[in-house]
Formats: sequence, structure tokens, C-alpha cells
Amino acid sequence: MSERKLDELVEASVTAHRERDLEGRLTPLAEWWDLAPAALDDLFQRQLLTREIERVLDPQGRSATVKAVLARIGGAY
Amino acid sequence: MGIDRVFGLVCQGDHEAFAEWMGRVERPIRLSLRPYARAVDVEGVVQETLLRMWLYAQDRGAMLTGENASLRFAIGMARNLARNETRRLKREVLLPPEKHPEIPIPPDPVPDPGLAKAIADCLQQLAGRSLEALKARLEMAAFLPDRLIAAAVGMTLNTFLQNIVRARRQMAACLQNKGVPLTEIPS
Repeated sequence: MSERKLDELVEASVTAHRERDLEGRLTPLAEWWDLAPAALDDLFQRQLLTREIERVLDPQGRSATVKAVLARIGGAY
Repeated sequence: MGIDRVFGLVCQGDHEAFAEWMGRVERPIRLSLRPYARAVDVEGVVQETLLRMWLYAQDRGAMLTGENASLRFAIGMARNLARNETRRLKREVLLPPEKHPEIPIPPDPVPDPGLAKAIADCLQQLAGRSLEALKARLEMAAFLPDRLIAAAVGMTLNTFLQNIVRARRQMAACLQNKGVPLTEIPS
């Protein structure tokens, strides 16, 4: 796999958006399953940085993770 | 207000307090899941933990006592979820061999304004489609999948992701030039 393609696969999994499966579980994105262990380490760091950037840039200081959870419990985000 | 007092309001069903509490504990919870990063979808486990803590707070949250009790409980819950998910997915082989001791991780304080300025400055240095894609992702990722965000800004999914990757690299280089450590950003 080219470095560029791998970068895109990791990036696709950074998002906070998750679907639920029929049993109600939050499911990983399809791209996540294709990531090798080293790429999953990279993903962890990218998510850490991304959530921090989201938090810093949001007027209320909320990351996409926080907003996603608020949306699921019916709170204002 | 301390995290325990904020959680006290969460126990009364206060959504705003819950948002504040999540902002204080999200990063420590995420960091506690580092040993599971190769085995489970950490983002999913973090969200599931926060959702369950909301339910737990209404039910038995008032029983949590002691300094940072809600955070300590949430970290334990997150690790349990991660362990169960690792077993369910049959990915135990991807866990590191050593045991994972319970490391006390304090809640996040209010974000550093210097860090906020560095991030805002670096974002301003982006331009064109990369900036457009990254901003759209930052604004909508909590609610929409990437394919819909890409469509909203008139890009194919592949182009959208390529632009995000480009933007992230530029952001990372800019932050490093400003002396911001990328892997352990302090709050």
C-alpha cells in the first residue's frame, strides 16, 4: 500500500462520527479494519491531536467526541 | 469548579454540566486506552464510556465519593469496555504483553490560551481546498460521515481525505515550528 493511500485510510478513521450496529454498538469505520498495528498507533495520536484542535477552536470548548455524545443523549451542542 | 462538583450536577441531569465534565475527562480517558489502541476502536470506546457515564450518573452517580471519583470510575469503565471489545473481536494478540497498571491521570484543566493561539495561527496559514475541507470536518464530524461532509463542500470522498491529509501535515509542521509537542499536547 502506498504511503498516500495509508494516510487516507488512517485519516478516514480519525473522525468522531460512528454508526451503531443492529445490536446498538458503536461500530468502527470500514477503513479501520484495514489498518496495521503501526497505523493504529498513528491513528491514536492523530485522534488525540484532532480532538484537542476541535476543543481549542470550538467557542464552547467542545470536541467532536463531546458533541457526538451530547447529540446522542439529546442535549444541546 | 472542581470535577467532582461538576459531576454532582450531572447526577441531577444537567446537560451543560455533563458537557463540561466530558471536556475535563475525555483526554484522560483516551490516554488510559493507549494500550488498547491496536486492538479496539478507541474513539468508539471513549464515546460508549461517556454515554454509559451519563446513564450511570442518573442512577447511582451520587454513590461515587473521593477525589476525582467520577474520572477514576470512568477510566475503569473504559478499560473494561476495551477489554471486552478486544475479546469480542478476538484481537487479544494485538495487546502489549505487559500488564497495564492503573496510572492516576488527573482531569484536564482549562485549555492553555497559548496553545489555542498556536492552533488558531496555524489554521490561518492554511489556504484553499485544504482549509475548506479541514474546517468542514471540524464543524461537522460529530454528526455526519465524511462522505456527506465531502459532498457538502463539493468534493469526492477521496479528494476530501487527501485535502485533510495535506492540511494536517501543514498544521503539524506549523505547530512543531511553534514548539508545540504533537503527541502529548498539554492542556
